[in-house]
Amino acid sequence: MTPRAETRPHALVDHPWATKFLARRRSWDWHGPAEIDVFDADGSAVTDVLRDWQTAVFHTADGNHTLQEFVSSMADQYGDPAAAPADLAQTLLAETRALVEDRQVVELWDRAADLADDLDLPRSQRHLAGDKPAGDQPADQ
Amino acid sequence: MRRAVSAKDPSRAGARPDTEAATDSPATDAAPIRRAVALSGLALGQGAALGQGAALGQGAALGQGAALGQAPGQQGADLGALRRQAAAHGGPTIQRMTVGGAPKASSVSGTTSAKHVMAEAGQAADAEAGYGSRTYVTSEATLTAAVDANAHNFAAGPARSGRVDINASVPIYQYDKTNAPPAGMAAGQPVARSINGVATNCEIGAVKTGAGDVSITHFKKV
Repeated sequence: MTPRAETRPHALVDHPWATKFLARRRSWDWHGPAEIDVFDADGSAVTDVLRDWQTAVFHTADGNHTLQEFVSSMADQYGDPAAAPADLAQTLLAETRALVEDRQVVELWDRAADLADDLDLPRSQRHLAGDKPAGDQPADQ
Repeated sequence: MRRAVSAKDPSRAGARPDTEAATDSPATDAAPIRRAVALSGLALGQGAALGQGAALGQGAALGQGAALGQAPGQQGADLGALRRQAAAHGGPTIQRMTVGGAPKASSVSGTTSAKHVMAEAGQAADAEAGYGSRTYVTSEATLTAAVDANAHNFAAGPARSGRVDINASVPIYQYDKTNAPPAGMAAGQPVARSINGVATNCEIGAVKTGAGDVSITHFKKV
């Protein structure tokens, strides 16, 4: 019997970013039910308002999820992955690239780590952080 | 340096983002329910049996009342204190993680607790009010028991350690948005429970803080 080839319709096959961990670089807060305000490096002004897929990318970028995990999870959101758009992986890759290279509000890590508090929770929820110490980002990131 | 220690159930399933929820999401009629859950009381902690046969005590822990979908300031400071107080009364436990060779009980960081610890009664409303999928445990004791069962030794000293991740099978509750993304991910969109208290392989991360405490800063279904 010939084994069936694995079908991974939403895999970023061999893409160098697939196994990188997504990590936020800017503090943020909710702008609306699916929109995010991203603040500048000083945290004094909103520089970007993210919507649609970019909200999903930025929200997932907690330092503990790879790009491939993100793509797979979005495909799962359609119930049957076959129901997801055929170009889903490429769409999400393009949206991620925009946040990493153009807006520079997300970066890619080689390994998982915790975000600092000011990047982890939205600003309006930081009081929930309580006793969490400073972030755990790898020194080489 | 991140270390992975395999324990209990080594099986791995597809990953899904663990997510926070919207803060300034539209007001929903679920908010009073969440607040009532938050203020009302004790939810039984998850009992867990260690592989060595030692039974962990059941901890009574307040449900995580800080529903992330609540508006800023809606959660009073008293609630956080109650949560910590409840977690501190988690009953006897087996402590095997050590700092400088001395046994040290773990605790759950405020951020991790806010994201993932909530009494079952409030979970669905919290998940619906938030953005994306949510994964919960019903008690901080679920997480601390898994970490305390691990024998990792952190070096003593004032520096914060790197995170140590363990894999453990713990009962979780997962809620997924039912409408297609990206619009269906929004706060206020409906959810369905996809995991109902079933023991599931998860990754739990702990660090030794500068103060010498073992703090659980990471939780993720794998």
